[in-house]
Amino acid sequence: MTQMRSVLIVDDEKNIADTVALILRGAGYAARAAYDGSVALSMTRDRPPDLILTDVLMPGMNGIDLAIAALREFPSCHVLLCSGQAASADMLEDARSHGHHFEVLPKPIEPDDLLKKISDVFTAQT
Amino acid sequence: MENAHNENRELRRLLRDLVALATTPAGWVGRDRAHIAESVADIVLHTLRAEAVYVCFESPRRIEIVRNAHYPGFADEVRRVWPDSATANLYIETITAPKWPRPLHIAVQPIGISADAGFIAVGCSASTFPSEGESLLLSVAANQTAVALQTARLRTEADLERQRLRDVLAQAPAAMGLLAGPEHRWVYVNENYVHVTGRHSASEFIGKTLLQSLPEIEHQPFLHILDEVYRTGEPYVGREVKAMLNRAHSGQSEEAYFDFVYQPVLNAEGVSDGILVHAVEVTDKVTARMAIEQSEERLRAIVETTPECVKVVAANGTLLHMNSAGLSMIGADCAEAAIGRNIYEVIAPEDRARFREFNEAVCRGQRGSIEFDIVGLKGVRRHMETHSAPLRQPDGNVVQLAVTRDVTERKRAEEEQRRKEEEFHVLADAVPQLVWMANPDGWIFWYNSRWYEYTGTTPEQMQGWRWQSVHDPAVLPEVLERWKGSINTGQPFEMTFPLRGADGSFRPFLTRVIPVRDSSGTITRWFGTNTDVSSEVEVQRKLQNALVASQSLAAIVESSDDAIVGKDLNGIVSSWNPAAERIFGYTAREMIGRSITTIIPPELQDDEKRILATIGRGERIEHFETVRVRKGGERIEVSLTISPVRDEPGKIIGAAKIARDITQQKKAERALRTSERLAAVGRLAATVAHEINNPLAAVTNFVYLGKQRASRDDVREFLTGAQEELKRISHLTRQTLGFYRETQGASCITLGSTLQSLVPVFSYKTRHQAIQIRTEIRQDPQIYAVPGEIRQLVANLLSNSIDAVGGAGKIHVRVSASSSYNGRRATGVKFTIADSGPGISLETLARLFEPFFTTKKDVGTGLGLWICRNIVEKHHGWIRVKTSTVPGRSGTVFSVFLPANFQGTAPVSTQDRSLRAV
Repeated sequence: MTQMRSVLIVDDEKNIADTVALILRGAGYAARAAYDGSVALSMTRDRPPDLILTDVLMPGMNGIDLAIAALREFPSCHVLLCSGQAASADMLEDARSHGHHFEVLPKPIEPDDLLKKISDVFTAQT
Repeated sequence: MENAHNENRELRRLLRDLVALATTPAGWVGRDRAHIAESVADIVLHTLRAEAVYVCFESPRRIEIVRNAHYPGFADEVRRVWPDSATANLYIETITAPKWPRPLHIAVQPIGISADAGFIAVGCSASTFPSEGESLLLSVAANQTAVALQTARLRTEADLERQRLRDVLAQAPAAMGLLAGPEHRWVYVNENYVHVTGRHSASEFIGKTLLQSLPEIEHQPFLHILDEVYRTGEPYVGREVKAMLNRAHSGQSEEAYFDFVYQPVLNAEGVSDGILVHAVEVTDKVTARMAIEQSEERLRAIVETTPECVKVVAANGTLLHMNSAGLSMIGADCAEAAIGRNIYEVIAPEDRARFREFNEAVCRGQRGSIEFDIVGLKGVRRHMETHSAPLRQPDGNVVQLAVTRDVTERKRAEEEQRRKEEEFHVLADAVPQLVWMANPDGWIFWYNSRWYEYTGTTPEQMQGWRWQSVHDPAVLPEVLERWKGSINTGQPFEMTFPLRGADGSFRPFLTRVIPVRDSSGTITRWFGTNTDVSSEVEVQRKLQNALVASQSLAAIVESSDDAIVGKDLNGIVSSWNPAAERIFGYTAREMIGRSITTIIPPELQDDEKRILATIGRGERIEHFETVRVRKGGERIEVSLTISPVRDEPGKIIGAAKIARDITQQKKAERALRTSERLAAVGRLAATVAHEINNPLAAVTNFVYLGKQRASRDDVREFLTGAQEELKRISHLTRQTLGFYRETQGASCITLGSTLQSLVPVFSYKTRHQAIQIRTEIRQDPQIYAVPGEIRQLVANLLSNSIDAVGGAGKIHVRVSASSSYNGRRATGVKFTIADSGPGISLETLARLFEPFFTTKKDVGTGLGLWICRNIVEKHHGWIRVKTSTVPGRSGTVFSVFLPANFQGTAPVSTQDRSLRAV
């Protein structure tokens, strides 16, 4: 029996976070939503998800800092970033120069494309 | 019989010899000691009928003669038995020797008083030997032998003495000779005598009379003198007596002088036997003295005849000597009237002390000159000039030797000259020109005061050749060359050259120099004038400048890119340059004489009136942008600058118009404005897009969820349609504006890393469409660029290629180091992206980079490549495209070059860097 994959969706846009969570739950994932980077990090500590899907540009803790912090504590966790802004590319560049390689999804992304991407992540793991 | 006769005759001869020996020693004269010894031995042997004789002379050299045919060792036996050689007595002994046939009775007789001189030993077997007579005979023989030896010794000494005398005579520096007898026959002459008479050897004299040997002296006094000396026995001494001698054997007698002595040689009776001649040639000395005497004579004559006063004055002023010219100068009628008087008496009283001082200085050994006045003995005043030198007298006193000239006339002339020159200088100082005078060699000795006023110099700074300091160094060499040329040739000098004034500025001077000649034509001085011609030169220079200016203006007008047109105040064209022909299409021939309104559009004809009115007021119109009409009717935009043209008095007579064709410039400006507008729109859109992305994502999700949950088919269809439209929106924002950034500074980046960060962004899409992207980063040099813009550039090109490929296909991206040349070489990076799409049609290619041009009717914004081009050009790079639409080999390659440092690269005009479609 396979345990349901858990996904934590992080986006300061509540509508986005909630709809994505709905879409993922519909696809069979145990999805939770968070609207703030630091909240997402404490939720991760309470119950580490298999995948964190986070927006990059957020007030407070941004997606990259969240991803780096979460991976430090939970190396087995997967992270997917999504961004609609070029500024996020600079932040990614900065993260890469520090040894962190993250995959970035464009925003908006087709829900089908997103589900395929998430599926690919877990397939690659097994 | 024969022998007896011979013997008797021999005996008689011996007796005679013996008698001769005993009586006349002179008979032995000429015999030497060995000869005497032999004679004695033979005489004794024969006269005493001896059987052995031994004669020995001891000193100075032993000589022994032995006659002993049958008695060997006789001499040794004698010396063995003879006891006392010191006695003078006869010694008698009888000796028996083994080898002798019989015993001998010997007698030894010393020669002279001592046997030291020698002895005679005689051996005889007769028992009576020696009888008394034989002893006596032996004694006589010994005495006579001693006399003969003495004579021989004296004779030898006399011979030596005579030889020595001969040598002395021969080597004597004087000519010597000995004349014998009243006929003066030569007995002896030495070599010097042979030499001074010009003969070759003594043999030409010996045995001959004086007259025979020297025939040239026949009528000279020497024979007479010799006769007198011979007759009287009194010697004669001659001093510097002239003799004419034929020394060169040419028949020509030459003059010679001799000091000589004729010394009579007297015999015992005091009568002359001969004359000793002793002569020394003194020709050189006499000749030299005569030369001196002659020159002294000449000098005396010169001194006497010279027109100048020559005098000798003692240190105390006494006049010791004065020539006749001097005597007449001081008014003395005869030498006696002046010589011995004190010269100071005739010196003018005011000059007397000075002259005395001068005289004393000369007598102390100094040389010098002095000018002074005299008042002659007859009261006439003259001005004199004296040159003096010290003269040492034979008595050791130093006196003054003076040559004095009457310079009264000269001084008067000099004063006259000085007065004239002063007058001239006053005159020369009055003229406005600079005036100067130079010696014949060019040495300037005088300038007028105008020269010093103008140049601000002093006479010391200017004299001679120092005037060069006020010349222009650039012109000076030519001045010097020509001036020296004139000095050498005597030709007048004329030249205009600058001279520096006291204020430091140069002004041009016309300089004329003419030679002043004396009556013989010799140049005595140069007379120069410098006339300020700056005003004339200024006029010439202005004319020259005007000519040059008009020529260069004409050249400028001819070669100008701008139309330059001249017109009068009625607008009639007077000039029309090639650029005007080009811009307006009318030739100069067509336009000159026509109205400028020809090129003015009908609706702007009023402009010309306004322009002419403005020009008429003397104002200038600058950069007036308007429209003109070309010959073909085409309108062009021009920028006009119009200036009034004035004649020399300043009256406005027309206008000069410069027209620049700004049609292209205007087009460019319009294009630029469009670009800027678009860029603003783009920036606005990008900003909006960022804000759109989030709600768009939410809406997308909502629609998705709605569609999942919709139970009605028509609702699902509506939502599917909504999804399609949402895709178009998200594509619009993401592909064209999604990465656009607001202003961001340039930094060092690499294209390769930018590419690598972007490829994953597109990876979901490429994988989805089965597109293989191969990235090849050969070199990845750093470039200085704006990161966001470069990312946008790469993203747009990648996105375009992905769209072009459409379905399954390949994209090959390559980054490499490269360089480009566009006026200057620039290194940088080259980025190529090749896709296997269908290629671009020719029509599309032509408009590829235009804004809002798109082939993607559904999703394209038409801004992607336009934005790319702007980014590339901003970075001073280039973007090119190659494409092929041939089926099977179709595809498109975009190449982008970005220089390493665009800010260090010269910008190139927008037009020039439009991309080249191939």
